Amino acid sequence: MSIYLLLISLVIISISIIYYRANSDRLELQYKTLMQELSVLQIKRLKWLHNHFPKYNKYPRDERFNSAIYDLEYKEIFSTLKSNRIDFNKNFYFTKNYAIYSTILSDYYLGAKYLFIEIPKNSQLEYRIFQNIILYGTIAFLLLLLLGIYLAKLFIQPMQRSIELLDNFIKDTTHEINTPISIINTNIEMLQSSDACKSQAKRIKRIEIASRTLETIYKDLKLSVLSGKNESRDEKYDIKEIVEERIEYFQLHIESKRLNLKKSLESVVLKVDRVLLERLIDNLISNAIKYNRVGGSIEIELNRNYFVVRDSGIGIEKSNLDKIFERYRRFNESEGGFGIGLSIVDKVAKRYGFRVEVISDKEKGTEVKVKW
Amino acid sequence: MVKIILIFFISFTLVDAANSCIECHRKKGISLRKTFMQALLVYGGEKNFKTALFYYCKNPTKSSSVMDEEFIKKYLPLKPIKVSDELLKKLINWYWDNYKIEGNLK
Repeated sequence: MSIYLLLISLVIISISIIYYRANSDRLELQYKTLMQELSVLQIKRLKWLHNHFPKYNKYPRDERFNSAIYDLEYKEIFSTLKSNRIDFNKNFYFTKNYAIYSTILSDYYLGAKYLFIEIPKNSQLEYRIFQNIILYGTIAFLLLLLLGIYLAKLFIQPMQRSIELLDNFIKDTTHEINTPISIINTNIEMLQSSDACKSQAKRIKRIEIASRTLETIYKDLKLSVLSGKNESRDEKYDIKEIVEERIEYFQLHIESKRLNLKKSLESVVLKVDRVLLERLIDNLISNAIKYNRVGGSIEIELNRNYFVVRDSGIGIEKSNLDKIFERYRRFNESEGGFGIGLSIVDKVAKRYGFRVEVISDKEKGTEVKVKW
Repeated sequence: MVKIILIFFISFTLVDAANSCIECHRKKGISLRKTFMQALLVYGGEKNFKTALFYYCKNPTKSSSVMDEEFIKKYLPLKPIKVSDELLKKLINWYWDNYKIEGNLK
């Protein structure tokens, strides 16, 4: 929108300049025509005075204009001009308050070669030009602005509808997904405690991983869909405990991908909404697991200044780094998801004034640092 | 003292020569004003006027005269003025100073 505004402003300024130039030329022509007539009249008077000098020695004056005569050595013979600026190289020019027209005399009446005619500038005409520019410029700007808004709406409408459809779909899915996940989790716990299923422990573990992945997605979607609708409850928490709990939550995922986890956690107390902070931590850890290679590493560090998650995964293209926080934006289709994880991280960080820094090398890994 | 006498002598010579010019023009009925205005109409500026008049006084010809042919036939013998260059220049300066337009318009 700002580019469009800039463009229409430039167009209107350009048109205004052309309009001003055209009108200035027209105005100049009007001045020249009038002053040329006055010059002819004054030359006649000079001729008469030349022939009757010194019997008559009163320099011809006219209430419509002032004038001056100069000899061919640029020496003033007589002047009634109000302006001090005399330019022998210009046929016509403006001073602050006057228009000046010069004529070269073919016969040097009274010894004069140059005749200057001076009339007051009609500032009303100039004012009218500016008035028109402002009036029509504003009308044109508003019309173009309305046209721009109309066209933008016309083009953005399909995109908005797509996003709306996706939002509705997520809302519906989120609503329906909660009960099955709870049932799966409860049954997994029951199976794990049952002796009869000890032989199937590996398979049950896989089901548990899948279920937790689903649970994470569910929580993200719930937060994304209901964001702004629920009041957050900020309380003081030791972040170290929450981070440890979330690492524990993802332990199965980490093990299944044979990732080497290094953690260095210090106690940090912050006043936050636990649910929101969990989403932030979960998304960073989940991404570090999802986009890591098998047997890779994850480093998690927490101290009074920041929380950082480093992985040895696929990394992100440098050109995409500035877009990673956009909603529904995904740069890798190899893993599932809606592309809302980092947008949630960004949203939570912004809510608490945290700064998120991302450093990534393609095929080497990514580091996401959340500074408190 | 010598300087004062010299200036007095020069001044006297200039006034004398100028009077002689006026007298001659008066006798022939040729207005100095008329010839001045005619020359001014053609030569314009002071330097141009003086240079042209000096040249004309030394070599008066029909072609270098600013007056029309009839006037020349009637009045002018077209003979060079026999005074020194220095005095002629002074006479021309005197002529310009006494007849110039600049400073005499109201």
